[in-house]
Amino acid sequence: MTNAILITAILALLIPIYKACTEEDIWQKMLALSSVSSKVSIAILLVSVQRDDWSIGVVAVIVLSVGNAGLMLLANVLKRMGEA
Amino acid sequence: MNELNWANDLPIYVITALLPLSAAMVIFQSNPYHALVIRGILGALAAAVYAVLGAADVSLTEALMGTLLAITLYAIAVRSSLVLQLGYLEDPTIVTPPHLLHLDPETRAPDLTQESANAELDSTVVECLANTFKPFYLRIELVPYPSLTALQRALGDREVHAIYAPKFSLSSSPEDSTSPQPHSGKPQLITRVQRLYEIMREKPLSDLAAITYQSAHQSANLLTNLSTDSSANVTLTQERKSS
Repeated sequence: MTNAILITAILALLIPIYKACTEEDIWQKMLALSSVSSKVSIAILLVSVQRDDWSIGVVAVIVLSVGNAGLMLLANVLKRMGEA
Repeated sequence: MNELNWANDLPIYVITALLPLSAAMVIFQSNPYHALVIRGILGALAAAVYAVLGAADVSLTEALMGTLLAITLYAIAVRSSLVLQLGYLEDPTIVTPPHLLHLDPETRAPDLTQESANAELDSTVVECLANTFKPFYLRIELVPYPSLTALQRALGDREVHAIYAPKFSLSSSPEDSTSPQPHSGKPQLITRVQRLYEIMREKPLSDLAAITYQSAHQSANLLTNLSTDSSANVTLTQERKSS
């Protein structure tokens, strides 16, 4: 059952990857990145619950929180580049 | 038994297959900023693969160092390196130095109003420059300089990649009839980078401004000549021809 959910999540991951590949706008790519980052961390959380492995769960939580912080950092750098 | 294992491991195979896919996407990106964003996707997928394979510590390191830190540092590095610094005269009403006026036979009796207008940074030229370098993902950064000598020195000292010079700052020797006379009232764009010169030489920009190539040591020599010998007549286009 969890395997089926995981495979569905991975297949859903293909949508933002495809969009990141085709879109030319940098902000659309950033959106795709945030989508992939969130989906991946939720998938890792699912794996951690399935295996009852806490260390993997901690990784998933850190990726979920810090990944978004990194996205903000990158967005700020890109925004300043656009202004300059 | 084997079939059961294969069904259990199926998500691992699928998620691992995404890794070369996103790696190929990074490779085929030409825009460095787009490549950085795709690299973020690759990092997230790699972290997922490591986590699914059971290596929580490797996954955490990939997410924090490999993705977060590397991308931020690369974004700053790309932003500061992919830039063309263009020096220009801060004050367009600047009076031409006397030794420079003495150099140019045409401006010996200078028309200061015309020269002042010529020295002003033309926004259409800058816009055209930005458009020319857009396919190469280069930004234009304008660096103001107080005088012509400072402008020349900046080019000689490799502080800027190119300078926007008014007409009177460059003088062609009247004896050298073979050298081209590219500046018929047009502003001058002088660059010390050969590749930038090749790109700027193309059509839309060369209509607006006269493009000249001058290596950094030539610029330094010119500056020495100007400051020591006021009668020295140095032709930049002539030097370009010899290089």
